Amino acid sequence: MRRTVDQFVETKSTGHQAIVRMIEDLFAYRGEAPPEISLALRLTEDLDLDSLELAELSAMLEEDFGRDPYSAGIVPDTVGELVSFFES
Amino acid sequence: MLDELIRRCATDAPERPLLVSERNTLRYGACHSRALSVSVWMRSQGVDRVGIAAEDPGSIVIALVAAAMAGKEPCVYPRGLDQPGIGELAARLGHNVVLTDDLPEGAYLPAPEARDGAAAPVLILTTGTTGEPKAARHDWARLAESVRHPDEASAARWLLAYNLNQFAGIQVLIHVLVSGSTLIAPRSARSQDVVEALRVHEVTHLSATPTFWRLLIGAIGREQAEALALRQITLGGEVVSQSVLDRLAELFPGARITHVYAGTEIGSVISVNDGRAGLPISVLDRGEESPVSFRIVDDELHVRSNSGMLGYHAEETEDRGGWRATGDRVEIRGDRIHFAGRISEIINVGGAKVSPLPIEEIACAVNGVEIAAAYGHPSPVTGEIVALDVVAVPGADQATVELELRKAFRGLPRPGRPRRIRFVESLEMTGHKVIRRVGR
Repeated sequence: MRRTVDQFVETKSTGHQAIVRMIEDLFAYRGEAPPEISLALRLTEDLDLDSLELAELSAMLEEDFGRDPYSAGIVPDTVGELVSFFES
Repeated sequence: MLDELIRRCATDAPERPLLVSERNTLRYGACHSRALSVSVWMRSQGVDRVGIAAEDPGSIVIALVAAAMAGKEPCVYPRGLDQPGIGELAARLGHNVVLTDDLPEGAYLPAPEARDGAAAPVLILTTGTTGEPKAARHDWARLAESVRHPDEASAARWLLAYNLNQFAGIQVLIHVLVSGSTLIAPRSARSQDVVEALRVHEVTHLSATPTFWRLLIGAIGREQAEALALRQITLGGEVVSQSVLDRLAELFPGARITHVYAGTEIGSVISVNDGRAGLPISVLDRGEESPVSFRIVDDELHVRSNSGMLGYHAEETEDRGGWRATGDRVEIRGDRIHFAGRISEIINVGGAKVSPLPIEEIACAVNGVEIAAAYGHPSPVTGEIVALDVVAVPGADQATVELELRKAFRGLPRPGRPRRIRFVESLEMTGHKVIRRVGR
C-alpha cells in the first residue's frame, strides 16, 4: 500500500535523507543556501529545479539507488512523491 | 514572401490574432501596419542587413516582417544576451543596426510598398553553446515551400516552444503564416506554464524537442491530456526514441504524431508519421531528381537537399544541391535507419550542442586536477548530460577539488556544466574512448 506523506515525516528513512542531501547539493552547486526541504515542496514550482537540474538529480539517484523515477517514465511533482518512489 | 503572407491575412482578417502572449495579443492587421512603419525606418538606415535582439516574440515577428518589406536580411539574436554580447555578435555578423524590443518607427508611407530589390534572405544562427555559432543563410520562399502540407484551417493554434532565433522557431512561424493561423507564446518553457497555455488557448499544434515532450508527459495526467485540443504533435532536434512516441500515442490518441529530421544547415528534410522511431530505409532509394535524398557513408548519414541553406555567412561555401555530412551516426536495423549518437564527441544536452574540449580545459586549470575528460552521459530527462571523469593530483582532497570544479564551471553556459563528476584512477580505466589529452 502506498504510504502517505505524513507517515514519512515521522520515519525519516535513509532514502529520504539521501534525497534531501541531493537537493541541498543542487542548491550548493548554484551557489545558493538551500531552503528547508519538506516533503510537500514541488520540485519545479517551489524549488525551481529546471530540466538540467532534474537531469542532474536523476543521475544522482541512478548512482545511489541504481534506479530513478525519470528512467521509469515517472516525473514526480513533489519531494514526497520522489521519496515514495524509492519506498514502494 | 513573409510580407506577402502577412498582407494577405491583414487584408482578409485583420482582427485575427497572429501572436498571443501573456502580455498582449498581436493581430494580423496591427502587425502589418507596425511592420510597415518599422520598414520605413529600416529603409532610411542605408544598410542591407539588420540584427534583432528583442526578447518579446511579438517584437521579433514585427521586425522580421519589416525586414522582408524593406528588402533587408534579418538575423534574430539568441535571447538573454547582455549589451557587450550583442555588440560582439553584431561586430562578427557585420550588423550596423540592431533592433531591440523598443522598435523604431518611420513616418507612415501608405504607398508604394515595392521592395528595394530582390527578396532578401534570412540569417539563422546555429545553436552551439561552446565555440562560435555559425550563421546559415536561408531563402524565405524555399523555407515556405518545405511546408508542403499547410494546415489550411486558419483556426489552428500553434504553441511556440522554441525561440525565434532557432531554425525550428522560424519553421513554426512560417507554418503559422502560411496557414494564417495563430501562435501562442507560453509564459515560460516550464511544464506547468506550457500545460496552462495549452489548456487556456486550446492549442492544436505543438512542435518541440523530445526533452520538452518527456517533461510534458510527466507533468500531465490522462484526464488533463484528454481535455486538450492537440491535433498535431511534432518532435525534432534530438534523437526521438520509441518510448516517447509510444507514450505520446497513449496520452493523445486523437493527435497525429510526427517526428522530423532537420538542422539549421540542411533545413527540414523529412517528417515521419508512422509512429516508429528512426527513418524508413526506403529514403535511401530516392532518385537523383528528388528534392531531398539520403545516403550512408561510413555509418554517417549524408543529406542532399534543395531546401537547405544558401551557405554560411561570410564563407564562400555555396553548397546548395551538394551532399552534406550530418554528423549523425546511424545503424540499419530491419527496415529502419536508427540514430546511434554523434560522429564527433559533441554532447547534446536537451538540444544544446556542447563541445567537451573547453570543459576539459577549465577542469585541468583547477588546483588538484591532474587530467580530466568530459563526455555525454545518457539522461532520461535531457537526452544527455555532461559527465566528467577526473584524475586528481596524488594527495589532493577530492571533496575540495570537486567544489572548486563546480565553482569554475559556473562560467560555462548552463547546459555545458558537468552534472556528474567522478574521480577515477586513470582515464584509460573509465571504459569510454578518450582521444584528447589536456594535461596540466
